[in-house]
Amino acid sequence: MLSGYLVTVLITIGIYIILALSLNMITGYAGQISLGHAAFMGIGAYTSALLYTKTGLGFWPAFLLAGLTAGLVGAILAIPCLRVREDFLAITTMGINFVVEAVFLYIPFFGAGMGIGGINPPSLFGAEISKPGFLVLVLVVIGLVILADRWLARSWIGLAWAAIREDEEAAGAMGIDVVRFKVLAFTLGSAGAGFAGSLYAHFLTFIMPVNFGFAQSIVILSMVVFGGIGTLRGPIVGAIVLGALPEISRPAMEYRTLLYGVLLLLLMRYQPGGILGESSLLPRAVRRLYQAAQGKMRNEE
Amino acid sequence: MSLLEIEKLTKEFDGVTALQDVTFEVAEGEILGVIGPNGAGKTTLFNCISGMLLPGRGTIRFRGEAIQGRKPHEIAHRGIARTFQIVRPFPTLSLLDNVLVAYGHRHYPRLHAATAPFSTAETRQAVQALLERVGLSGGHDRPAGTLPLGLKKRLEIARALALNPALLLLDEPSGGLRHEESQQLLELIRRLNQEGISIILIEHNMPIVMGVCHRLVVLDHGTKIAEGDPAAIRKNPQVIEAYLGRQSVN
Repeated sequence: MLSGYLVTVLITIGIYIILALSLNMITGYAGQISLGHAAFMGIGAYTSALLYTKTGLGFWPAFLLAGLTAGLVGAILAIPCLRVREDFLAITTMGINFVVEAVFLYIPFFGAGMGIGGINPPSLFGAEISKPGFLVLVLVVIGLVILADRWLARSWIGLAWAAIREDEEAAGAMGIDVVRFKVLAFTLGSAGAGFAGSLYAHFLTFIMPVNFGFAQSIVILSMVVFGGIGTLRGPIVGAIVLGALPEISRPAMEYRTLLYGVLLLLLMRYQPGGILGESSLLPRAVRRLYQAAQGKMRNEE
Repeated sequence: MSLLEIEKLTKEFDGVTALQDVTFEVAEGEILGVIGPNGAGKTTLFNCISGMLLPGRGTIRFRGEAIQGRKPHEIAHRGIARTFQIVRPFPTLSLLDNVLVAYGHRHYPRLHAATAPFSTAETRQAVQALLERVGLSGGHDRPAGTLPLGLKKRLEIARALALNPALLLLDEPSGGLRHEESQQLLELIRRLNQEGISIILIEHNMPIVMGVCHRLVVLDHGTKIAEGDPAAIRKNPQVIEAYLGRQSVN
């Protein structure tokens, strides 16, 4: 059926979709820049890995605890983050990423430079699930994340986030506890990254600190920005395109981070809303085509 | 007990005194005008009342409760709403959504209530009524940033009304408006006051001030130099000197 290689690529893209959607909640919906999202992926991955290898806890509880732990740490770290001025938030989140990576790298409990291995894939009804089975698992998690995303976007929480993103002073004057809602965005987004990290750990079966560094955060942010920040479709498309790109452009692998940097610059200059953002070229062209087709149909009637 | 009591309110910024021992009261049901040359501290006064600034000294009492230093959202919940001198509706949100943001104030504090959908037939109806009340009868789905200035000002008032306030702070609502628009605004302010909302009005437009305010407080360089009914203030020599006695850059 599907080749093993293709399934691997799809699983990787799927995990990135979860990472991009969760970052989109913090940066796209609530408007808080975060350059350290990979740190929470790492917290989720290491939590899951340590619980699995050191305590014999099964995948499913480890997976849940991974997300909860990442969310909790996100909530705690959000407090110092929110005390700094807006322009410093980028540097603060970046700093968090480096500190978390250093903790994994230098503290022996976390396996230091060697990382953690032997993180087996999950079992269902006593049997280890196959790769296609893991893909189904990833798709189910993506489905749940999308449901949660839509639910939040349509709720008063989503509206409060939108107001904070547009003008946080005015939002406060309209009765929104800005700090509380920012912390909520960080918590939920970090939890999402934690769940993705757990999936990543049990898929690769070994993890190393370098997987969760600043470069990884930039990759995730690129996906969100490229696809269209603040929309649902944007991060998904961004993750698919930029997740498939390394496979398509294997020769340029070493230059991936450079490529993403250039891509971000070009986007900021020409399509700041992302490829599929609200007012971007592609969706506008599609809408125009659609309206033209409608008009033509009406004329022919 | 008055609705709002300001006592010896003082605020300094890096050695510049924006407000010095300002003291006055606002009675329930009145429209109080706060006037004075540019830089007198009027907007600073509003920022202190609405919680955006922490005063250095002094107290602000609303219905007997001290509110100075409280966060803006706490003050909004207590029934004080404001508009801004430089109008700032949420630009990419629609008119409906702009007012819904404020309408949701009753839902935000409790997490369970906050997870409910915000755009229901009921909420949209309530908000549409608010928009009509300020004279915005159509185009409710337009992004607020595309509105002309006069309509943006009305939108800000509708947004403030969604907080169901007992006290409304209007910061230069007629700024940048043409004459007929200012007249319509005057009517709206009068109507809102008749419906029971007390209003503090910062204004430079003297016809509006004289036409709608019950009482005036005059600030100059951070201190209150006069207080009384519009007719008396108009003839007050100190007030005249404050306005004419220096080059005021508008």
